[in-house]
Amino acid sequence: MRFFVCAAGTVDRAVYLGIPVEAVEALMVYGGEARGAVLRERGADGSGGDTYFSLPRFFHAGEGILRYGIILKNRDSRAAHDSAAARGSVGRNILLVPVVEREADFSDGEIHRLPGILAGAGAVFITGIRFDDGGMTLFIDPLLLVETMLKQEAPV
Amino acid sequence: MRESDDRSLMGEGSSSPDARGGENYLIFTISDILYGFPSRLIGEVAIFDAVYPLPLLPEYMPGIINRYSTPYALIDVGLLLGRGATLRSKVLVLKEAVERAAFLIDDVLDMVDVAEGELLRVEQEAGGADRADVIAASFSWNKQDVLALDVGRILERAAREAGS
Repeated sequence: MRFFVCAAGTVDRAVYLGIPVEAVEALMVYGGEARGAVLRERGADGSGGDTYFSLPRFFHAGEGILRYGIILKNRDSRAAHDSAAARGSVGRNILLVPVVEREADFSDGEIHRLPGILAGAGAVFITGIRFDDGGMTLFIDPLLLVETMLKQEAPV
Repeated sequence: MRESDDRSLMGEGSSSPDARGGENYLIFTISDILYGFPSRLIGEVAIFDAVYPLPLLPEYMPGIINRYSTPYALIDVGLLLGRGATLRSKVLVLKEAVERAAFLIDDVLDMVDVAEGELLRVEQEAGGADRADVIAASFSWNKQDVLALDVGRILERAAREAGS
């Protein structure tokens, strides 16, 4: 399976995120700082616009300039899609990262499952882990990641 | 992590509780308190190298460690018991067949056989989530008390709280 490999942030040990290429509509240049883990933008007509998800904030991987946006195909966020549809507009879901390092293929055999005690609802968006000399890559299900981040942001 | 730093603690013959109902325990310290784990559950003790944080984990789970390219969940028993963070010195790694989990510890002191009659069982409250729930029993070693940790309860609690 082919992934975009992105740095999650700048910490003492490198953490990377693997986003399935098939879930991505396009990459964009962002070039800003995150003002929160989830940032909703209003559309020109005042209705729901794009939603930005700061991955370094969510993964506790430091802050700083977020240079790239990964625009997800809309089917990859059922919750956000439904919510935006209810407001009469369907915005895009955009994952913000400091850098997109490369595109790479990883076979199932190269990716380890999470330890059983972490496989519950909290980490359901992590589909696997791979270690190499550069650090750890977390493979992500963008649909579940977006839903989890929206749930975390929602007031209790 | 250098693999040569690892200490194999398990012999092939020590994989089940003692026939007399006792158990072989690994005794170790965390912040000068003595704890014990059944040694049959332990794969190795290794020097701490690095931990990779994950989101949404409880404070006593600092993240993931890399053991021979396989991810293990790291648990800080000091924080779990409300006694402060454990120094990042060594990790006690469970056998993969038990669970891919590891525990921060300070130092290994000994391995001892403890007969069933020497264990002082700790009463557990039904359904309780108290910190003491993860201590199964205590026993005496060199005139000091050793708290025998209930690995099963720790893992159950970690799974419950990491998934919430």
